[in-house]
Amino acid sequence: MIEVRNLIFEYPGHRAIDNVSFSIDPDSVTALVGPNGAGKTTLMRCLCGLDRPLSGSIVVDGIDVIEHPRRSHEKIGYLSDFFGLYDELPVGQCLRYAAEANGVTSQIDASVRQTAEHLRLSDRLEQRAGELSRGLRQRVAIGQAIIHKPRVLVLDEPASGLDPEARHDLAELFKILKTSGMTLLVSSHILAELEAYATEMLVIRDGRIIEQRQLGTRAADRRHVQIELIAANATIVDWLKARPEIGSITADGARISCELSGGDDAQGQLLKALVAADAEIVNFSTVEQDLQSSYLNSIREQNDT
Amino acid sequence: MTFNPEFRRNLLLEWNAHRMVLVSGVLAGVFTLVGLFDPRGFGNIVANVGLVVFVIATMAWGSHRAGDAVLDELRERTWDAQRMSALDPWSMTWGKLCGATVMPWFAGIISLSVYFIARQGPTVLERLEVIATCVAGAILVQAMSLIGALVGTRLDKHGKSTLTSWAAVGILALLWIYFSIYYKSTNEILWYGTAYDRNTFLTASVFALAGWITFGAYRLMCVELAVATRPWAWIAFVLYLTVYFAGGFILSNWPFPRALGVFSAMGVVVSIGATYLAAFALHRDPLTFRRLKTYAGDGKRRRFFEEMPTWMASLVVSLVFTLICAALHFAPEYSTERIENVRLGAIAIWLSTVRNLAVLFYFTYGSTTKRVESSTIICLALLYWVVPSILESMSLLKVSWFFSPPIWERPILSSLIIAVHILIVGALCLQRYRERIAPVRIS
Repeated sequence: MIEVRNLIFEYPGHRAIDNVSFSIDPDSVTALVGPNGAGKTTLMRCLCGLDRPLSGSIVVDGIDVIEHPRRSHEKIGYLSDFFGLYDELPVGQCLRYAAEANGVTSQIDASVRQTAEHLRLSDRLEQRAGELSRGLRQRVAIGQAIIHKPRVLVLDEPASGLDPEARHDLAELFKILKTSGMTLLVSSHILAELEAYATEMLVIRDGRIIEQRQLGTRAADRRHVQIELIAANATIVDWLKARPEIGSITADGARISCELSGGDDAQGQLLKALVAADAEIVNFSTVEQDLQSSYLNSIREQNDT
Repeated sequence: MTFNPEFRRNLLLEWNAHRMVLVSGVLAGVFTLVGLFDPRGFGNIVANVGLVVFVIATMAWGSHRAGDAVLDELRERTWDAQRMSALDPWSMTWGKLCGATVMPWFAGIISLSVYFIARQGPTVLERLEVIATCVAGAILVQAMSLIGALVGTRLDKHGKSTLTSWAAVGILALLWIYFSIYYKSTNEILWYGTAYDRNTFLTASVFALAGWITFGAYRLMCVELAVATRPWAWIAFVLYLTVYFAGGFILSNWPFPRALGVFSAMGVVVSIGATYLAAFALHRDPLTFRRLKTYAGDGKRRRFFEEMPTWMASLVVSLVFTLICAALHFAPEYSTERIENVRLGAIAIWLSTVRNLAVLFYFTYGSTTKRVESSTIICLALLYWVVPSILESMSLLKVSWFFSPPIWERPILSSLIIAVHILIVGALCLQRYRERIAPVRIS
């Protein structure tokens, strides 16, 4: 659905996007994560044809965004991190304007009604946008972005400033949009909430994509192992670091966490080798990684390299 | 097909019965009050006040609203959504220009109606001519304000719309003063040797300029809405101004080389003026040259011309006029008027422009983006005016030539001196570019 090849975007003396390439499958929800200043917003704005990169190509649903930005806008809905609404207009008029401005030519009233129902805004259509709560404003803004039924929805930090209930509602909405056939690209700092709906993770750092992988379907031969010793032991940590099947490793006192590749056999072999190396083990187990840990591991691996 | 949604949205926000009653009430009060002081009751004083109210309503209030049509989108953070909309640039332009200014135009129409009814003396046609000029002037000022706001979005200077609308009022005032005073005795104007009625010519001039400025606003809107544009419209505007101004000098019975000399000299003046205006007033992307180099290297000719800054387009036009002027060096001399004898001096003038632009870019590549234009002007004034004046006062005339060469007396020597300037400033510019812009620092 989204194909990005060798994308470069520069500010004077600073390369914000550095030769980035990736592709995103249709009907997926991709979490775009990375530290502040990593290039998330710049990348999203380039994808939406709002900023023109120096070189590279972006294709959204078969349309070259750089060559034909206007045509690509029919396929893309975008919600920026600091979105705005026409506060003086009623919600119904806001949605109607968005529909007309985005090229919806027939059954505009039906589109407005449908979108409002979809976003549970039907009882707010007569209320002025400026009178709504932050969560409801967010819903109206998303309504404006999806009223022309785009194939791709790009959302920059959509959950910032929302209370937990509104965040939960937003996560549910994204799931519904995904099932309705929309491809979502969502950036957020709050990784725990992305976990609720994201199917893929794209990690960006220093303008480069450092990892892209599916969530919840991590390769079966790669797992996260936690080892707890009686006391902190630097020799064992060094011994583990030297082993080829061990990936990233962190030690917090007597507790060691590491990435292990090789499946069940390798896990058994590792335990055996640890015992043989006189490691005083209290606990040895695999742990399911959440998005936050996964992201931090990716960052650590990048730091190590 | 729906009616222009941008116009409709602006109407929803601006047009309501409460405001209509308020504006009508205020205007009725003003005209009644003035009528009480008018010895003829509802006469020329009321009519003139009608014109003044029209100017205040459409040019002051209206231009403010036209600029705000874009600036409000920026303030309310709705501009990105508009940029991504399916609305075509023309719908967006007239939707904003007419929609946001609907109340000022409502007040303006009432005022002009009062003028038309109350004015005594001029014929109906003459009154209609005044009204047409006023309407065109108001469109001109409002479109200029919209241009200022659109330019400001790129510069992050949101006061630009006020500045440009005042500039437009200034242009209108100058046109009016020029036509009223300069041609007062004859009451007609010679344009390419043909006589035209002064007022008709003024009306036509304002209409044409309003058309160009509205077209300019549309072209800027194209850029904002990601519609690919090449700078041909700017080149066409430069050529139009050249034809317009040259008409004031050239007579129909002139021999071709003489007319061409004046025309090309006017072309140099107008295109260089346009180059300075575009370079100083519009957004200068420090990465322009890198982008152009990349597109040229990749053979992307279309992208190259889309990315080409407007100042560069008019600089190319000025080079063509400069070469024509220089070629006329071998033509006979018809008069001693300077406008007819620019000739080789045009080369020195063109090179000066290149040098001054290099100075501007030297400051553009600096550590701060603030006060670039004022720093450039101060630097140019110091180097090419203050220093040579000091040297001249010390009787070091020939030394002062290095800073301010005698373009008219010694055009070839002057061109060589300015070429040396270009090399020096160019080297400094390149050094700064390599230090601050070219290095690609990754986050």
